[in-house]
Parts: sequence; structure tokens; C-alpha cells
Amino acid sequence: MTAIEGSRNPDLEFLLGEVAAAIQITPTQHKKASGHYHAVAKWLSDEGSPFAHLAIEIYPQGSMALETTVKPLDDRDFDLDFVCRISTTGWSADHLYAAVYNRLRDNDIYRPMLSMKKRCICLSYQGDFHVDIIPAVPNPNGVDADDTNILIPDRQISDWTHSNPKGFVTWFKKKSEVLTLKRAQADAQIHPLPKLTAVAAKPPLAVAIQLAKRMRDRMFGSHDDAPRSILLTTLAGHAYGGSESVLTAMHDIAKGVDTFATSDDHTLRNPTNPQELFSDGLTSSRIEKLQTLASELRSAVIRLSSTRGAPALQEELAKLFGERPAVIAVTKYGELLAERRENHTLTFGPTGLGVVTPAGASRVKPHSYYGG
Amino acid sequence: MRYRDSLLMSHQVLQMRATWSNLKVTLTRAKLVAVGSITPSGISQTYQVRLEYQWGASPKVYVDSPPLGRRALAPDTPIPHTYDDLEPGKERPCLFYPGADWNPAMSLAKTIVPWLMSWLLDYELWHATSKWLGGGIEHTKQSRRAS
Repeated sequence: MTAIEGSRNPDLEFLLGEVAAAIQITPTQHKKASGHYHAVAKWLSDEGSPFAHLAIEIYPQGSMALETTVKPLDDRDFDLDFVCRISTTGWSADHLYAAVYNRLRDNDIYRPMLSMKKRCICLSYQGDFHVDIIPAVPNPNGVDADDTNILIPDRQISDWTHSNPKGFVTWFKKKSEVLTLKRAQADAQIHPLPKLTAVAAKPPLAVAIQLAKRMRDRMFGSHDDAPRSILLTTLAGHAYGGSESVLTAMHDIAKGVDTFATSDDHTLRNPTNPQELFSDGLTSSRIEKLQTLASELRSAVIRLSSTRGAPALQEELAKLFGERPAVIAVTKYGELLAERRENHTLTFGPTGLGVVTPAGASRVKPHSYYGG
Repeated sequence: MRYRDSLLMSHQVLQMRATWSNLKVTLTRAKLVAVGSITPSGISQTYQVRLEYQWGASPKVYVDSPPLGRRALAPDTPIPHTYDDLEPGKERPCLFYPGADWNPAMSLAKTIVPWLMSWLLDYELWHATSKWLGGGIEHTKQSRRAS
């Protein structure tokens, strides 16, 4: 048992949540991306499209659907993945890929933005992000009750490959559930709290994954062997113990990644479709990097849980996640303190002030600091 | 505020002891002194502090360790909201607006101690971000060295 697994530190958790909020894609970017994919969906299903008479479903996959987005470092574009599931049978993989590609090429706007990737068609929105469109058909032999198993074309092998991104999202959301009653919620009934931020409502596991991904990006840059998000997310989902603490969730991820990297079996499948191999292409160099990330995560958790003092903690956060998100998080904490003082919701008790969650039944009386 | 409205010194001592077990509280010749450690929040440092309250005067607080200091990146900028802010090493927190926020009818345990915690937290956040987020009222030149 380490200190990490002991009692939750709501003030530190607040900082971690705010760091995650500062590194994820903004609501504006989110909205823009949704607009783009709805437009693409419309173009694919409009009259004149070879798919006009077929049922088309477009949905996000990956970090956008999992709520684990992280803005790329430097000026790299952000990748958004969408599945375009077309209810057709009897088409070959190459035929489907070409049909979707050709339909997009017929559009004057999309034509110059198009490029082909192994399993998807990429639309580049200048200076902002890529939208990867993954053509898919329902898996005729799918065994899942929800009918979420799909087949997607793989251009390298000119054949179908198995996938189930939608099932994976459902699995991940289930795995993200917090097992204990949230203390903030329990206390909120006694002491009403000002509005919770969107991040506070976010599952600790999703926040911990965002932080782990940012650490990965800072450690390995755009290196080809950097641990893939899908591996981290799956291992995280398997290892997470349901704690309401982001720090404990980070610790769980470190343990899960390390156990996987040091075991003899490096096979990892989509938990909702065993035929989809996430560990595809996992070389020894990549496994080594997974292990490095696990040990960095572990030491980050130890340092974060033992560092005290806002300046030292901000410095630690900056080293791990970047200067800007660290300053934003600490500033938000100060703003919360000021807000509570102003609307008289700042409480105190033997453990100190209740900045994030109430510390006791007594409220701090209003006062103004004096002096220049 | 007349003295008969004031909280008895013995009550101040009892409340301090009941509320803050980490502070050692003594009362000698109508002067209350509380010494010990406080931790303002889960992210802050722990501070050794001293509170002195002479019957009839304003309570004073001192931060003994770690000592208060200016920001390393801006050594010419005094610590905000401190008395003796122009004498590095001698600063002490200004917790309230004299004559308005505090009066002797108030409990030290429920005002001065949480106010000091709040100040220390704002002080740490100022060190980290260079911004004083805690608000407050500016000193006038004349009262800068007042107690």
C-alpha cells in the first residue's frame, strides 16, 4: 500500500482535472469537427450518391467518442476518426473503399483535401485537424447482440478486417464507472456547492488516460514506436479498480501497462471483438516504450502525491504535462478559492479550508485583506 | 465596540484549543499566544505560525516557518497584503480591514485562523502564478507600517 492508495486529496484531484481540461480539444474544435462530419455524412447519403438507397450511419470512434482527447503537441493536426457504416452486402473490401473515396472525390470541396490511408480516407482541414473516415459494413457473422461488430477494408491486404469501435466505447464507459459513492455528491446534499465543472463530472479514468497520453506525447513526440492510444486505453480499462481518484487511476494504469509489457503474452484484443487485434505490430521496441511510460507514470504519481506547496506542485505539473496547462490549473484553483470567499461557501475544519469540497460545517466569515 | 461586548479571553482560549488542536494556546497577563502548525489545504505546505492577541488590541499573526519571501523572479515586488512589506524578512500577513471585518466580540478560532489559512493559500498561488487572486483593499501610504 502506498500513500497514493490512501485517502483522496480533492484539491490535488481538482488540479489534475483542470490540467486535463486544458489539454483536451476545445468545445469549439469539437463543434467544428461534428459539423464537418455531419456534412460528410450528408454528402455520402444525398441523392446522387451510390449509397443514397442504403442505410448509412456515421459515428465518432476513438478519443472523441471516449472523451479522452488530447491536443497534439507542436503544431501537429488533431486526428478525428469517424466510422461510416454502410448497410450493404456482397461488396468486396476494395470496392467499398473505392466507392466511398470516389463519392468524396466528386465533391469540389473535398477533392483537394483527400488522401488515402491504410484503413481510412483522410480529409485534411487546413491548419486544424484531420478527419479520418473509416468505411465499414456490418459484420454478417457478427455475434454481438447490439450488432456493433463491423468489417473495414484494409488496403494492404485487399480484404476485410474486424473491428468494433462502438462496442469498445460501451465497454470503456462501463469500465470507467466509479465504484464508491462520490464524496463531493454526498457532501453536496448538506452543503450546496457552486456548479461543478464539466471535468469534475468526468470519470477519473478518462482524466487519467488524458494525462497519461500527454505524458506519452511529451516523452516520445511523434516517434513511430510511441505507445498507441488504443493500447493504453484498453490496458487502462482492464486495470482500473473503480477509484474516484484520478491519481489512483493513474497508478492503476501504470500497473496495468507494466504487467502487460513484462508478461510473456503480448496479445491484446478488442474486449468486444476478439478478432480485432489491438496489439498488431507490437515490436520489442514498442513494448520497451510501454514499460518506460509505465515507470514514468508510477513515479509521477508518487511525486504528485508527495509534493506540497502550490509553487512546487505547479512546477511538477509543468514538467509532466506542460507549462501552460499547469498555470491554468493552479489559476483555476485560486479563482475557485476567491469565488468561494466571495459567495461565502468557503468552509473550514481541522484539515484546513474546504476549497474544492467542504472541510467542515463552519463557514469562513467575510474579510478583506488589507495592505498594498 | 465596548469591552463588555467582547468575548472573554478565557472563551477565546477554550475555542482556540477546541478548534485547532495543532496550536498550543497560552494566556498570560491578558495576552493570548497561539503557536503551532497549520495546513491551509491539501495542496499547500504546512506552516509554523504564531497568533498574538493582547486584550484591547488587534490580533497579530506571524509566519515563523517556512519564512515568507518575495518571488525569486521579481525580488523588487513586495509580498501583497503584508505589514512591513518593505522590509524583507519582517513581513506579516494583513488579514482584515481594521475596524471593519473584525471586532473583539468575534472568535479568533473562527476568524483569524481560517483567514490566515486563506491568506497563506493566496500567498502560495501568488508565488506560483505571479497573480494575487485573493482580492483585498490597498494600503494607504500612511498606514503601510501600521499594525
